[in-house]
Amino acid sequence: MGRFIARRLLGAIPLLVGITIISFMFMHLMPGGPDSLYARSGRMNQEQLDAIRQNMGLDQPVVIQYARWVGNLARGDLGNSYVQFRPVRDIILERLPNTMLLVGAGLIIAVTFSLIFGIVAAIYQYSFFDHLFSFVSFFGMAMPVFWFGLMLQLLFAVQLGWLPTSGMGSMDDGGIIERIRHLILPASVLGVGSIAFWSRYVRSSMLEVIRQDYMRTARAKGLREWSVFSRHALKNALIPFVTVIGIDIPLYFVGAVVTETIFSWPGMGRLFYDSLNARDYPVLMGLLIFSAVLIVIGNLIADIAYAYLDPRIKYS
Amino acid sequence: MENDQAHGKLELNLAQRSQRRSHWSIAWSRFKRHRLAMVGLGMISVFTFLALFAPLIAPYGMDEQDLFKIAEGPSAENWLGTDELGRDVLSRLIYGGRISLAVGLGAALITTVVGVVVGTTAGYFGGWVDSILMRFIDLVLAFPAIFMLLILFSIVSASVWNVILFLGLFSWMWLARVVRGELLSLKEREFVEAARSIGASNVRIVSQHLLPNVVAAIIVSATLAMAFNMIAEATLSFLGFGVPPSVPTWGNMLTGASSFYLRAPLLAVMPGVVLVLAILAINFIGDGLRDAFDPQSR
Amino acid sequence: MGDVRDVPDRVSLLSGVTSRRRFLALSGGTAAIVAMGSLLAACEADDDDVAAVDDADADDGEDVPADEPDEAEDDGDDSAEEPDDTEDDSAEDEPADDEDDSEPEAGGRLVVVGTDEPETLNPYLTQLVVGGDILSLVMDPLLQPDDEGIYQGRLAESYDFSDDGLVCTMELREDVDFHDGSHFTAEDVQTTYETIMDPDFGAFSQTGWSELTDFEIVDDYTIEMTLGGPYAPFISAIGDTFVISSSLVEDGYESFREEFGRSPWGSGPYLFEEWSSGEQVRVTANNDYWGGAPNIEEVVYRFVPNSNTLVVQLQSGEADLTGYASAEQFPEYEQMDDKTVTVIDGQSWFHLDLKNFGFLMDRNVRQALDYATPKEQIVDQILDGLGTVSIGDIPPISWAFNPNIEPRPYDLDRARELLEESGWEEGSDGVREKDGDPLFIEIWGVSGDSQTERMLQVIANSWEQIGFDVDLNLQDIRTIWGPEGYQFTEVETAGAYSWYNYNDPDNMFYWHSSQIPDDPQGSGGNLVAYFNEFEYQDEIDDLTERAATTVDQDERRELYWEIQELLHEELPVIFIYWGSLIFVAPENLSGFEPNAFTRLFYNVNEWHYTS
Repeated sequence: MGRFIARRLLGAIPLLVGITIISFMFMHLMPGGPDSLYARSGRMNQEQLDAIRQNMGLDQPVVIQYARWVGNLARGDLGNSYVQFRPVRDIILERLPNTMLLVGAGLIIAVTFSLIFGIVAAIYQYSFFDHLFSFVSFFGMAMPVFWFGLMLQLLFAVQLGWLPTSGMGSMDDGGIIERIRHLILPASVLGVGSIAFWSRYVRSSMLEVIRQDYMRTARAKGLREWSVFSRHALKNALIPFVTVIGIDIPLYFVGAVVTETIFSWPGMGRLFYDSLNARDYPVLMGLLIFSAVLIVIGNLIADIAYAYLDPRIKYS
Repeated sequence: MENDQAHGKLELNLAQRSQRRSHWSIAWSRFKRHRLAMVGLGMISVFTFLALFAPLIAPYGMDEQDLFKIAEGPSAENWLGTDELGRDVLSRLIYGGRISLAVGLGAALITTVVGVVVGTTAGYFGGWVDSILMRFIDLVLAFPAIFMLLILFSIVSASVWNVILFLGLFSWMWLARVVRGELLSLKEREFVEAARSIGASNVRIVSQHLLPNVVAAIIVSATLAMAFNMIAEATLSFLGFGVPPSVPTWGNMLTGASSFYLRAPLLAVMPGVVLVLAILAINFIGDGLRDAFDPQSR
Repeated sequence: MGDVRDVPDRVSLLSGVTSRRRFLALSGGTAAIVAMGSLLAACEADDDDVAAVDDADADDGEDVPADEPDEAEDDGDDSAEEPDDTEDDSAEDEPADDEDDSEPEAGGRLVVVGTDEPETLNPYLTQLVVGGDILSLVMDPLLQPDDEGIYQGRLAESYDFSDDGLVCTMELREDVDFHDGSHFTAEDVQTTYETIMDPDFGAFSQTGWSELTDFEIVDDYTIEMTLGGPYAPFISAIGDTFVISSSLVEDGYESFREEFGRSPWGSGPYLFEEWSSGEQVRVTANNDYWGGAPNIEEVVYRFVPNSNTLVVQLQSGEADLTGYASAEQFPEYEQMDDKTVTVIDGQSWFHLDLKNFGFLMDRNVRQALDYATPKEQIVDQILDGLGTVSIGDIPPISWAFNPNIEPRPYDLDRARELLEESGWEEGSDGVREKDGDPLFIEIWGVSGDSQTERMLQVIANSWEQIGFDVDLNLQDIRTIWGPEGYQFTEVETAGAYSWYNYNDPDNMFYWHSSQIPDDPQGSGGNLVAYFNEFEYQDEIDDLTERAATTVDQDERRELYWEIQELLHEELPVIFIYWGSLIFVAPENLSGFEPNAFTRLFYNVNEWHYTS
């Protein structure tokens, strides 16, 4: 097991290097290179531009530029924002807790409903509920997140006025209750996409377990249905589900772009969108690298967790 | 296909072909029995028909403006009301289907071609070619497609062709993995050995013997890719980084009307409903195809 | 650039599509920068104007006695506006409670909403209107424009010019303390000047300040500034500058740039409390404010990027007030029971640049396009009447506006005639041709603002009716101004912009030959003449130079009238409308008197709720 983890970790290193190289190339591929934004201001003379280029180290060979950049990156220095005149790291970290709150709430909603729907559908296979769930999950998969968010906003916030339209709610004003009220709509929108997929997943892995011999044995022994489920089926069905969640968590941070934009949630997703509109490329690059690393780590953890939970996997 | 043994090229081909034909007809008859899939097929046929013959069907022109009828509700003249420039919403929806479907289809085509080529190369050659390509896929997958697309379209101006191209280029990875997996197992089978032993070229082996066996998986993936790309197109447009706003797509219609949502919520509802229906139809078909090709999956 | 307002309403650049903004207003004095604005701490000086004026100065070196140039001639009519009287006027900065009939209520909280969030609250780095607005809660500018755009005292009680117009003496207030308890003196103004001019700091704009050749502290409360040459817009260029405490930059600029930019303080009516990124800025009353303690206890400026959401928050009472609201949502605003909607004329002018290239060099074609542009329909139907059909860059609220010019009517027949005159004949597919070349034109506009997008679609439609083949191209501002932008392609193009003037009518930036960029990414606001100079270029060069260096206001006005006539005839751009500003405020808020010449919170200490 230890060797397996070590190998996985080692395997992630070239990936991380690749991520830095691609990000670096991306910055340099921008029309005219990273300083073009300055040049495009149109009001800078050559002297000033040269000074900026020198300051950014652009007069050095590309390899040295890259090495410098990676060195800074390793120390957590993502550069300074063109727009906000302060370190990108601070800008991102400031938004991180808000996004984690949203993602956490979204996950709770998604996991809860996926389990309920998936389990009920599996227990009552081919029943009315089963068909209904599978039909609804089709809708869930077909619904663009942004439009679903828009509809919820128009219905619950604008038409009915039950919930706030946007923002996070100031803790001074309404405290925790107000925060939760603000959280409901965006978290639901963020979670609903996964419910469709995950509940189907839970259903099929439940069915798989139910069909297995030991379940029949258990049932034959006269154990009551519910205890059979909770003791045997559920546990065995949940193992793969956990890893699916692990793989999907980073996608939540990505999905946050759309959700946070619609609901003006002050997290990293909206930061991405705002930076995009302000063409604040250092922040965009920071977020891109951040999410790439998150995805790599998420996959790694899912991998290891799966291996750990499922003894059938051989660590070869 | 297990029956086909190494009896020589001709027999092998014949046997495969006949079996393939029956395989297709079995799949088709299964598909026909899949109710949702047929509904999906019907819906998508209607959408395609409307898109193809939009100029004949739409009651008004694509850009026919009437500034004195801005954001009005449904009426006898405009069944679904008018938009922010007094254009007929129904007509715009019909025309919008053209671009939305074309983008979905075009991008899915690119997805399929790139995915199949990469997946086949990796799966067939295996070894270091496979390792490199798979690491490359891991790398591409590490960058969230929506981030990359948004950044790209903040640099490059988005035309319809650009959107098709880049959507396709950022969504082939899953298909490649599927194709690779199938090929890795298939290429160990006897009939491939047989073909190789009689000196068939790599291209021939792949195109004649291997790919036909993964066609089912490819078709299913392609339909899903189409649905995915249509959603992606609408999302990009909605965020303001998609097809130019003057082009009517369902996503653009939502964006264009965004400042009228309070006065005319229907403008926010209609394009979304149509989009969901179209994607639903495609997903139904995809589901039906999966069941048809592989009845065990359900 | 003195006024924050000449910074564009850059909503689209920051908040983009879900929040559709009113228009993209590019600045007058510093347009190019503003367009690029969000990108960088531009360390450039805005010295294009400067250089031009210096040249002009050489031609035109008459020594004109200069009081405050802008209003020198208004003096006769209204002595209250006489700058020397500003000592009296400054009394107006005291709380004006007594002017109200209704019972003022002390205390309370005001939630202001806007679609933009400032990129920084450093007064010399922020390029957004919202940055200056929020800063006007916690900081004070040197001077304060009144509702006619005439600069009155604020931190400087009065100002006076030497007879040759080259030396400006300012008397400063003696009773001003900064929030940290330190006392405001001439040294702080000097630090302000030096920081703005220091290339190591990299202020966004140096307009006005860069005219100075000497800055002298006479005593603790008197400064003397010497200009390099007569420069009529000087006072309006520097008057809006926020003054910082000199202690801020004692140890270099780093903490001033970064930390101060996140938590600013000054001498203003409110104390900065917190800025929650992506959410809001909160300030509380400065009870020791020199102009009188504010009535409202707490002001929250909340960022709501989506304009629909903004409307809903105002409807539901989650928010109280918004400035520069979108005309598109005017009907919704009007329906709110407990809100008052105030509409005032603004200083932005929306227009289409006509690149002086190919067939657009033919004045007949330019005029035909003007006749074929349905300006009135645009203002009535798309802007809901919240704008004025325009004939030039100088808006009607300016003293330099020429009221005698009538806009060309919407007349497609006349437009067709003009095209025929120039030899453009109807082609087979409805597109006119001349010598085999089709009448093809591109319209470029800034994306992200649905109102602009709608207007351009209407214009494109209309031009097609007189036989143009129109290609509408919406791009973000950086693409437009970048190397792939339209200015530098050899295709006839109309480029749509909304530019914001600053408080002086000086418009050399738009029309003078010194403002023709030398290369595709060069500087200057006279972009239309990049390929070819206009035939009337010498004439307008002469007029604008003289206008910028003439200090007698009547003489200046006449020059600007001539300029407007010339522009109306020659049409280097199609003038479409001057924008209005829309404000939504609680019905029971008293003292809220928005002013197009200055910042949203300029008189916030006089605001109060009434019962």
